[in-house]
Amino acid sequence: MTTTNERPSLKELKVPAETRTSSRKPAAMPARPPKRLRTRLRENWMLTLFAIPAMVILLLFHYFPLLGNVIAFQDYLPFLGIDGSEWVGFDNFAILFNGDPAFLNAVKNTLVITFVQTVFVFPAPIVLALLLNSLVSNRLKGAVQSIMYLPHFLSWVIVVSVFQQLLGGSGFFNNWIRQHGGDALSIIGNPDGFIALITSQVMWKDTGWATILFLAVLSQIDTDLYEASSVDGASRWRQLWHITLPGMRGIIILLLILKLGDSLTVGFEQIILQQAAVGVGASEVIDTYVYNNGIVGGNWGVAAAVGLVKGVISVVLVLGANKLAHLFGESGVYQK
Amino acid sequence: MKTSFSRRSFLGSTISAAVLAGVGATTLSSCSSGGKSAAVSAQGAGILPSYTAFKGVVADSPGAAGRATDVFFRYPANPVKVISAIPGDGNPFTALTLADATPPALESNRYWQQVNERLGSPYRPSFAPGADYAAKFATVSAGGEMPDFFTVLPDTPSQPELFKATALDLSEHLAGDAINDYPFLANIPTESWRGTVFNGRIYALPISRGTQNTWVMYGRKDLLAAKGITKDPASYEEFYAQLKELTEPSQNKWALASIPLDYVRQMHGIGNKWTEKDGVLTSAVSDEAQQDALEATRKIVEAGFINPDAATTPNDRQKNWIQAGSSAFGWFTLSAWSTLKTEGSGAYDAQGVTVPGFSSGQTGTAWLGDPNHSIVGIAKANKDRVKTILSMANWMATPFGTEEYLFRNYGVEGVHYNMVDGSPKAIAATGPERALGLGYLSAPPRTNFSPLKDVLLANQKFEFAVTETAVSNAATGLFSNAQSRRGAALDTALKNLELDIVLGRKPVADWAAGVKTYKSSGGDQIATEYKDALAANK
Amino acid sequence: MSTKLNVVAPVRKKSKLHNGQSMPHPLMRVFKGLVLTIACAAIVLPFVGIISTSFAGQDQITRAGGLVLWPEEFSLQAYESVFAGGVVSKALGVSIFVTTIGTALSLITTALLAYALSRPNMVGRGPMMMLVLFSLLFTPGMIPTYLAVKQFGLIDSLWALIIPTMVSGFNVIVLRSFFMGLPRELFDSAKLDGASEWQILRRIVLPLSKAILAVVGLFYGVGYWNSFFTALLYLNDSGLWPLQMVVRAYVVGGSQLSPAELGNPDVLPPQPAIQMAILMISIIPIVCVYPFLQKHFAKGVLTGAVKG
Repeated sequence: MTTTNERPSLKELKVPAETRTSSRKPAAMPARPPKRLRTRLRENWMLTLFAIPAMVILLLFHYFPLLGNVIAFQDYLPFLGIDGSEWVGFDNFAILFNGDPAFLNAVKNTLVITFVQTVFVFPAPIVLALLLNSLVSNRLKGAVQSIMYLPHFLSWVIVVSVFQQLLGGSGFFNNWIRQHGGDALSIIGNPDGFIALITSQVMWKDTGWATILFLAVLSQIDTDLYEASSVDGASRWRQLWHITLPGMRGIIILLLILKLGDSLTVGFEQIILQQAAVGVGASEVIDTYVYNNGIVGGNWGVAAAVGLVKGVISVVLVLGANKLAHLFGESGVYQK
Repeated sequence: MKTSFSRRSFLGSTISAAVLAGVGATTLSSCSSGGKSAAVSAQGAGILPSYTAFKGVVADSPGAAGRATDVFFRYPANPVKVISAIPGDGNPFTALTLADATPPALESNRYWQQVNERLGSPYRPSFAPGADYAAKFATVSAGGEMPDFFTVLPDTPSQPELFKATALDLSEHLAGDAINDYPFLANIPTESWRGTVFNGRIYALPISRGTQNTWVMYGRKDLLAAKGITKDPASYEEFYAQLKELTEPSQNKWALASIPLDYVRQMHGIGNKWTEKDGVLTSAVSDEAQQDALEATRKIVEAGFINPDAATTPNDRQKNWIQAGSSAFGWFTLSAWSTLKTEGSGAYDAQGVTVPGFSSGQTGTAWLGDPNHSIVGIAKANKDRVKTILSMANWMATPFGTEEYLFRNYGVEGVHYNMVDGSPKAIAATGPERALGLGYLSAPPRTNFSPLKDVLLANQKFEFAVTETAVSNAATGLFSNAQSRRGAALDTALKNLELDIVLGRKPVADWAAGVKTYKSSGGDQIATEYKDALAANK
Repeated sequence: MSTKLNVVAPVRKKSKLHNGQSMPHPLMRVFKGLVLTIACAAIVLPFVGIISTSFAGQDQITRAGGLVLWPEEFSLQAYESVFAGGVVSKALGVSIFVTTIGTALSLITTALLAYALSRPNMVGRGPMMMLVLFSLLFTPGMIPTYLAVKQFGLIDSLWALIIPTMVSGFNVIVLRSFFMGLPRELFDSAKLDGASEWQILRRIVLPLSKAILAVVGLFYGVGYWNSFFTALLYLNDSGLWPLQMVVRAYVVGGSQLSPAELGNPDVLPPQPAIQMAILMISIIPIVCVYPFLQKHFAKGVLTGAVKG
């Protein structure tokens, strides 16, 4: 009774169940014709009832207003309303397809930042969760957790201002260096270091917060599995590799897929607040480009148009990644 | 995990709004009972209200319309109540305006209760902080029911269409001598009314700031004197030498708290955004001296005379460096004197520095700021009670020295303030009861008021000096659709470019290409539209 | 078998963590301690600055040019000034109301939907799942959402701070994925015992999901607590504003109150101190909630459940 694989993982719990039904279908079909909708509803009415409240909220406050995104095809002025605003076809989409080198640069920056942040920011809370989980003292664990999740509550305006006052060219750190005869380090205003800077800011602000979800996952892992493997003399690395990580795999993949859907969106507020220090060349991303070139003038139609295009790309990315996950036998975000 | 795109975009768009709101809103006390009427130019001449100065209060040191702000050292004793009738009609009136702080609710707000009583109509305001005002304003205007008074900030897009669609045409009640029914609105200088005229009709009330929105260089005279500098620089070279003298990075001292690009531009005599000649408007961006100004500023940056964080630090926080004495020079509006003086401790002295010519023999030109903080529309639904609404606006515009002004700005004596040596001192326990935004619905001309007599006099003297040659933006009061729709994006692009150049990330020569793009993607159209607007107003 | 257990038992007691993992290597423990200390210091230091500034006097703030690392004199002036007039206390009440009611409603609706979507026999599961997922990818604009809220008569009602943001697709997906990860045998045996879906949810699924429910609750709670934008747009009456909106007016108000506007009070708390004080007031209550939730994900809950 050694290892991990005995513990039903997400995959084993779900996928087999579903493959079973589908593989049996041909044989079972003739004997049991599929139940009619009404019958199925009668048998499972309670589940439908469960879904109603949340679905109603989503439909009324998400999908109903989503219809308002038709302003993507308008020169929309709020005070004229959708009825009164002029229809302009695909004009608002031009900002995305006009081949402006500055825009292409913004796309490049966005993708680079997304990549860097996926590599560094995404795993950080996982590592921290594993670290915390392996702590001996529960009290220490609690204390560290409570500290690490504090910065999440600061708005970007504050975070940027605090970073600047500590690490800026005239901040505490550099002032101290200069007073002691050293040369100041350009941390904030250095275009080459900009991505590193914003990445560390994101990590500083949200790593502790994001850890919470993974800690919850870790707590769901059956402690008997550890007990048993300890008895068998498994090392900690073995336990990590064979029990802990497989137990977290489902949620990691799920979050990764959802993150992929967010690829074209990187911290707008954080970046625009610091853009002046390094210039648009190093810091322009898709959202700031759209802001600087359209939304500053109150161009709501452009905002909606870009939102639509990004949404479509996200759908393709998420559905594609989900499909890929299925091919590897993972459950992904959802499965049919 | 996700936020809606438009919402996040607004977090950004609000940054610019915040900057704008920061510009004029420092003191409510306001100016000028000022002698002669401003020279009325051709712009909107036919429709502009006639100007009748209020003579009831004489300033301790009078300014002059368009030149300098009236100054008071004490609140006049026994202030007169100048409006006897209650302006309101008993029906509530609503407003959307700026809030600096959140006021306590009506039940526990004695100031608000008094306002209702004095106005004779219950006040139902709704607020947004400066940084979020644009978002709030957009949704309210999309909802289709404008509040009775609504404050419109200068960067609001499509203003002519906005006012036409949502605001009452006030021309009939305010044009020419018609305004005399509202004597305290008639006391607002003509310069301020220009910005309320769209397509030849008056659509709004101005929140006047006189000359106080003018950006100038401030210098800490005490720090300068310590280095033996007692005179304003007479040329760029002298300025550069002073900066060098004042910079000591090892002591964490940098001469400048702000990037002095506009100051250097003024030394070169570059115009204030738009200049007019023979009915044609030209944008300052295409001035030939621009590249020289960029190069000269780049040199100052390169030499390390500016606080290294100046580019990303909001103007308000740059003031802290002046107060702390880590910088001697900073670029702020004329209204900043009060913050630079009273918020700091110790006796230091930040005063305006005049604009020299770039090299000796040349003359510099300062730029007059926008005469208004914002303008205020009256909702269309008020057609039948417009006289009541304007009477209330008239009450809110009663000037410094009147009993109404004293109440509006300081509340009730003994409850909200105590009069000490002719100066109202707030009673802290009342908190932000007075933060009802009345000053952004209708306001008198600006005055400067403080017991710090020397500071005020020095400031006023500088104001006279700087406005003597200062030029105004020729496009003030003119509206161009291209400017209101695309102007912000075009300006942002040039702002980013000039910052890149000044900070040494791009060569100075790139400016020419930037200007070319500016012109072809809207700048030329804006110029044409301004020209047409100017012709139409004549 | 039993002998082996007897031999191992005393050793195990020392060499195991609370959750059954083996004891880490001493060197590893030192290394981990170092990493965590550095990480915590990096977080604590700026917070010390924020707290110190909120207690510092004008002189020191002026000299420092902003943030202060340690207050020389201890002044409560900023806090007194923030609480003057009773606005902040009232806003605190609004925030607590919205956060508790909102989190409760969010958890209930989200758990119900997530459970329904986790059951293979649910009618319309696929399309509904798609609707939930797409709600993450396509977001409606600010203005249309405002118009919907207005149309449903929620303007100037505290419900406008709760209902429109009550269901987050992200939380539904996370919770559903957890429910699906629960051992299938539990459902099968419950079904055999004739339990209804409601009973399965109440008696089996929810008790086993305390940790993730605590996390999702925290996500929602912090979301409600931090949101100011809904209040900005949907509440015209500033008397109903929650704390974060009041904070917002102070921190990013744009136009700072000048002394003249405040009526030249004799003692004026420095602006940075006020901002930091109000920031602290807005953070402390929600931070206090954390330790109570923490115990829910401190230990495993599945022990024995599978075998049972």
